[in-house]
Amino acid sequence: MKNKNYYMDLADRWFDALLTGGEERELKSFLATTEDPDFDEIKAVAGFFAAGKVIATSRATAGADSPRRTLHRTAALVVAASLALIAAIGLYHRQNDCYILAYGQKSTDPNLVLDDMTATLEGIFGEGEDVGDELFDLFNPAL
Amino acid sequence: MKRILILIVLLLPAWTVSAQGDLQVGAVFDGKVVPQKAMKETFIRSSQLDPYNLEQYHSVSFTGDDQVLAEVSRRVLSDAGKATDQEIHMDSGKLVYAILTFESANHDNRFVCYQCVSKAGSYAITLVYMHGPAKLDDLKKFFRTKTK
Repeated sequence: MKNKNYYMDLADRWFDALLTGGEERELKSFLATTEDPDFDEIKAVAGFFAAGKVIATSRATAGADSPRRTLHRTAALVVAASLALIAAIGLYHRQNDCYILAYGQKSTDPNLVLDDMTATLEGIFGEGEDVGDELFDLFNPAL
Repeated sequence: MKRILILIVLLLPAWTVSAQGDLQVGAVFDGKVVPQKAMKETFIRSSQLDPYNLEQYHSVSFTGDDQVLAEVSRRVLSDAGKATDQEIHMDSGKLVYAILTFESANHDNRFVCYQCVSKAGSYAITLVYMHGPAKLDDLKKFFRTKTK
């Protein structure tokens, strides 16, 4: 079993970038398991360098997104577009709340529109009254 | 994420469907029986309807032949089967007048009104859809004009 001095020597040479790839992995494996306080400073520096390596790696590959990241971005765009479409349709109906559209001509004059509604409903409900009156007259000719 | 997208796509049509979408007559308002450019369409959803206790008024008027009359009548009579109240008048086997009421527990009542007037060789058809807290009797009082 390799002793503490061996790993201290590896750490010293690691700072000088003199380790081989295998020695570096061996040192990292030891640092990941040791609880010897003499190696705390070395572990802190190694952790800092590891984080920096991850950030540098992610920035280097930022131009070439992973398929998963691309899918999430596309999904977000679809959701945003759908919500925008829903809002636009709702806003359209809210703004156009009074109109007459006749044979290609559109009028939003509130008075004109209301007059048309009144005339239509008077025609319908008036007819209903007429039918009732006619039936009444039919069965009560003496009155 | 995939499920959310599917849910949004399914809900999108539901969000935009017209208020009368679940009724057969909805197809008439959507221009699927008579082209919309061949109809006069009136739409109101504003405070103008407050005196009548209505939230929305939508009507279409158009001229049609026997085939159009048959299709519109079929749809009106189909919806009549789901109405809580109905007034229907036939003349020589043709539907000439109908008022359908769809009362709702949340006081958002719906009404479908139909009128057909025979012209030389064609029919002038009017279809109305309204909804709001109004009662049919109140609407009749508002819009009744002919007295004896």
